[in-house]
Amino acid sequence: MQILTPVAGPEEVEPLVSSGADELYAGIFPDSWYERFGRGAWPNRRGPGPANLRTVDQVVSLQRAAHATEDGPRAGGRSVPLYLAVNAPFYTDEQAAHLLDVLAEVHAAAPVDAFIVTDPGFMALLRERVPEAAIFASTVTVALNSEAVRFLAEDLECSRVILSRHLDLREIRTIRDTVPDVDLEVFLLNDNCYFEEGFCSTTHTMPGFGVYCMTPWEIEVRRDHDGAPISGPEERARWDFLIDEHREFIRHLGNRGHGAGPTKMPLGPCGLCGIPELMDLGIHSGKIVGREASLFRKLRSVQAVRYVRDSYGEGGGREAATEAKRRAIELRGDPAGCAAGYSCYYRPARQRDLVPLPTRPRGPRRPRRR
Amino acid sequence: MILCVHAPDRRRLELLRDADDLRLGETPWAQEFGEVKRLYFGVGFCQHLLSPAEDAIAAAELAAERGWGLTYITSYVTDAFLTKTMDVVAALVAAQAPDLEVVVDDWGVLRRVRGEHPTVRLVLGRGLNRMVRDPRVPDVGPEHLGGDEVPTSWGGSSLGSAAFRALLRRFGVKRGEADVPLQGLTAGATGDTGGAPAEGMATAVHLPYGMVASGRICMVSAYGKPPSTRFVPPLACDAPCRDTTLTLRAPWSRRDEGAEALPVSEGAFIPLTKLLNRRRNALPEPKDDAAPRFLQKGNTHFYELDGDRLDAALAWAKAEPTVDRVVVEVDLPM
Repeated sequence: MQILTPVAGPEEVEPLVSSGADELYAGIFPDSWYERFGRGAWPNRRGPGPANLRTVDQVVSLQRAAHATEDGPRAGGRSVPLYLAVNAPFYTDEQAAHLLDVLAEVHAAAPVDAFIVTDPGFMALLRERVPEAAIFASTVTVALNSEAVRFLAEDLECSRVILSRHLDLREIRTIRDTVPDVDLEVFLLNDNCYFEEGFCSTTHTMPGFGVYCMTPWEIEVRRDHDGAPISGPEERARWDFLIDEHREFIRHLGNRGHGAGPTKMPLGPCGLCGIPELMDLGIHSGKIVGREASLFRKLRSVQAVRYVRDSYGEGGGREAATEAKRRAIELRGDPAGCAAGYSCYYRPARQRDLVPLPTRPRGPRRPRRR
Repeated sequence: MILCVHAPDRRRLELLRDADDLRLGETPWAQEFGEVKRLYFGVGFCQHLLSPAEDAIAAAELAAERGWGLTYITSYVTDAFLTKTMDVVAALVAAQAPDLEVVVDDWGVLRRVRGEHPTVRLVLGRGLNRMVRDPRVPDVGPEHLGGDEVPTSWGGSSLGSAAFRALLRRFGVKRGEADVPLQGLTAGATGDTGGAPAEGMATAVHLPYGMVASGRICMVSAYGKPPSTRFVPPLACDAPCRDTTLTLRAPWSRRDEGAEALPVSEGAFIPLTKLLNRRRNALPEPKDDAAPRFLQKGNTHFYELDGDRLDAALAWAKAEPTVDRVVVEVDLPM
């Protein structure tokens, strides 16, 4: 399984690649786009800032570093592919025309290895304008089943499909078994979403408001049959508990405030325990999220994934898988967080003999139905 | 303009059947569109709310009885539920549901229906017709965007893209569904055909509820569940959302009422995510409250258009050349 790592500039390439990154991805928020469409309209899933490159020249520099070209800063080094995210949920005709010009310029100056795209209409335009460019279907296209993967890979000719973040290992296995010939990419570390990313119609994050799904709502619960708010103390206690737990879950999805554990591992969403199963399934690539993160966080993430992947090896069997998971938990240094499971991308991948899973539900129990 | 009514499930279908006025008395604004001509049935936001085939056939029978067409709404699905969805579609085809259309919110469902039932008309669902439905947008201004104005693309949708419409036509999709977000849509948001109707795509607008966000992780489904299965996509669900609606009171005030939009400290915004969850058991009366409110049903957040916003949405729908249907949601569409 390849380790796909976010990158923000050419200076990050060498440390990331020497730490184990096999593939790199970046985003672009061109200055010309900013001038024309403003700060609020994003050409990909991140706004202006450290998560995005700003000019074609920056993409060219990054591509030379990634491909270790003779005229680049890493001449003679290990060449790795570079992908560019242009995965806004949709583009207006005007935005699409502008972005096509930018991408055509990128392709002419320093072709990247693939564009990560969501909008199927934009995929068609890009294929027409730059026929030789490879296109990956972004997770925002929402591929939840094998027919959707077929649609994206065969009908829209995407050379890789990035699966939904919320598919569990069993569902991924079904897809893999049904469409064995399609390159699949899954999420491994950092920044999960509460909603299905393709069906979240919000602006993701907004200065002053933050991330929509982390909004601290005041919540009133009503029963539909009589329209009245819940009132009994026991039921209220159960809902209070659920709302508090939900808040805690959301905090985990948002990297627990970007905290790090004792080994300086990011404590956000984590799929390290799922690596052995994902490797057995033949998943092509595992993604580390966080283009905007510090280089240190990216490096720590790459090192962690590489450590677990290499300790499992190829086709390592159950004992090797257990050992890889044990190392993952030890590396993370957060047994309580692992036990809670709220940070897990692949919660069923945890093993009871490694993680102290709670045997009884915390909080008030649901009443038995009569 | 054709008026349509939506019954998400069998219970709402029976309520519709029993009501002399088809419950349109609850949505007086809909009466200007004349008689109902089409029934929408099904849920587009959760695979666990897939109705059994017999309920879908009951909807087809009601539609046939009243001389309506039937539009069956499907959800986004995993492989297990793709098979179940196709069983219902096959049952509707076998039952010769009147003038059957299938709304798809999943590329896999689109591919299967097209392959197995080429005569069924395909409709692009609200989920796949991407648009900005962020309920915070009406309260966003240049102060949040570094001095920039709110972008005009926030008033657009996927159907506004000529390339997207051409691609849909290639895959047999003839129609689309749309919400009208709180900030409204621009003219041509569902396709500016520039006087060439063949380039456009007929669109149905759902009112007054619009989808903000949806996903397979469901807070309501987690009610009473142990930690190991809490807040993961449920394998099975007994749908507590059928009888539970959450009202979400926003921690900011309405911009158009002149109130301070957000908590401000020494000129800098405090991200709302830094605030504590201010949970209450009963919210203040809406008439005394300047905070926006939204709705949560199961795994999906919705907003409701009312007052001036509903009037503006209706005016937009009437003026938009591609919009030929209004779908009345008497209840939240789940």
